[in-house]
Amino acid sequence: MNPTATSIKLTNCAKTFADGTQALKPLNLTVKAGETIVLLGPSGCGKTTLLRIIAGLEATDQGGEIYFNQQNMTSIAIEKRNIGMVFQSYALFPNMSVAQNIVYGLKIRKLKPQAIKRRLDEMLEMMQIEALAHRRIDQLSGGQRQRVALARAIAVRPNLLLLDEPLTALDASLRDRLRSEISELLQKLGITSIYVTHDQSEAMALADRIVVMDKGRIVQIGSPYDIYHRPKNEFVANFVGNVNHHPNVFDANYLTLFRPEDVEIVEPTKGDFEAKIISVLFLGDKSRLTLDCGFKKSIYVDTTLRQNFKTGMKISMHVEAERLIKLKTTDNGPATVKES
Amino acid sequence: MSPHYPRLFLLILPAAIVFTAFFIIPMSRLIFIGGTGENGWAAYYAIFTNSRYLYSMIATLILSFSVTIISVIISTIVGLFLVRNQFYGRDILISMLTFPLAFPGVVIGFLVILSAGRQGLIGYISKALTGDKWVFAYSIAGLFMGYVYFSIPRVILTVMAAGEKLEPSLEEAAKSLGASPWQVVKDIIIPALKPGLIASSAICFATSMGAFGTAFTLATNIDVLPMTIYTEFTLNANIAGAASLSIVLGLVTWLALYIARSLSGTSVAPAG
Repeated sequence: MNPTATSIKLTNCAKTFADGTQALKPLNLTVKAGETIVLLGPSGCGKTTLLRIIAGLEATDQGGEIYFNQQNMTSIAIEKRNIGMVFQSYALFPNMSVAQNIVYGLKIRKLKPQAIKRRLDEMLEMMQIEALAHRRIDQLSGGQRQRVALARAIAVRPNLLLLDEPLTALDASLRDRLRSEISELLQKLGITSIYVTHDQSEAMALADRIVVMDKGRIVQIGSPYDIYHRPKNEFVANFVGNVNHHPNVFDANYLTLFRPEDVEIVEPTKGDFEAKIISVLFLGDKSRLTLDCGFKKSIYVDTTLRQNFKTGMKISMHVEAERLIKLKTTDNGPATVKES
Repeated sequence: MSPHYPRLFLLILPAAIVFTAFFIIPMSRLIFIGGTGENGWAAYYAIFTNSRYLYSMIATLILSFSVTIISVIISTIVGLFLVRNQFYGRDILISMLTFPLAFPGVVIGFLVILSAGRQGLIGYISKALTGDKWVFAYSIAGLFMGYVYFSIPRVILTVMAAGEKLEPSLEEAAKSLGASPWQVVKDIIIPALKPGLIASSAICFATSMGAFGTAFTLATNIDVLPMTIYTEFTLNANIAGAASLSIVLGLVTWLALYIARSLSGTSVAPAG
């Protein structure tokens, strides 16, 4: 871990906009020094607002407080918070070259020219963009732009790195590559980072802990493993992956769910329940089956069996008891069920 | 010869006719007339040799230059304010700001006299406050006031158009990197507005160089070049002199704009 890494503490932070809409309900959050936190949720859940409050781009409502380490930063302006920020739109300065963009924060900090040059070379090498140093921004591809934006944010050695959906504007294959690069980078730097996304696979890949948000509230905080396998309610279960309602287990107090990949296809009549295949999506490494079990909701099954499934076939299925996700129905609270 | 040439020729023909009829013919005629006076082609040097002409040219340049600078500064601040702030009556205010666009120079001159003339509001207020009556409508200061008033709407409209396209995340990125509000203006906002500011300054400058109606309304002895041309043409019947001065006025304005454009061109080129 980076010895200079900063811990973050938010107490009672809320945001009400001028038109009266409450984007964020009062919430508390602690981020450990060097930790990578992902704020995950659908659009409008308040994740970006929360990030902007931490950055200092928005003020929290009266009563909220923000601490970096033990220092109260609530009324400190963004330019004095020593953060690095990466935007979905890259936000590179079009009137400056790649190199000028990267050193902008260093120049503002009035570093000596040799120190600036050294840091620039470090950044160019770290992001593997040496060849682009003198290019204009409009001569770069989306992936290159986001590398430059990362280099610019990291160059100033920020206390905290904030990333606002940095991969959303990129195409799928580039997104996967840059995602693993960012993951390696964050681990190597050991810098405290807060990453906003609506993409659960990004959240899983990057986070030490995921903060799932919905309607201005934090719904669950946990490791990617916990969020996926021990979701607190149906909203979380649905948001981080697909879930099925168990067709045979009915309990007024519990909701019994299972994930498509936890289904075992067994000999006819030997399973817990049977269903008819409505559609088959063959993905190469696996098949995704959509099944009708006489229930109003379809059941999804992912199977790696090398079997040529056909629409109309009837199959028998079994789910191990420890693979079932049991949720107290009262825990569902305000969360909504995502239709899949 | 490419088979496209006949068609291209047909397409360019209307432009060529308009250009010849309304630019080449009158301009060459004007250039020619400029050389028919008693001093012949030396009339074109008169701007340097005749002290009255030279003084008039310098006064016009200084006036236009300062009008441009002041208008751009005022309009940039007002334009950005209008883009960034929502308030009651904003739309009405914006449409009122564009009102002077429709006024001829004579109306602008009249408005200047109303505020800074002998019976003007400024004189009335200054008399009440200091005991001195400030009257500057009939001088180059009055002209300056009129031109600024006249130029502001044009620049504001351009600044607002450019300002609306300004991406907020650019400023946020600069702030996150530690830039103070002034550094954000200097490093992000001004460069983003620059193409628009250069275009509107050019229009502002050229308009001030050639404006006549306001000067004529305020006083006939204000020494700006369009007034000198008018005097030479009507009072002195020095047609050649008027023609040569017109050409020189056009050339100087064109040169100033050319320099401004090429200076701005080099500074936006990629940095090494």
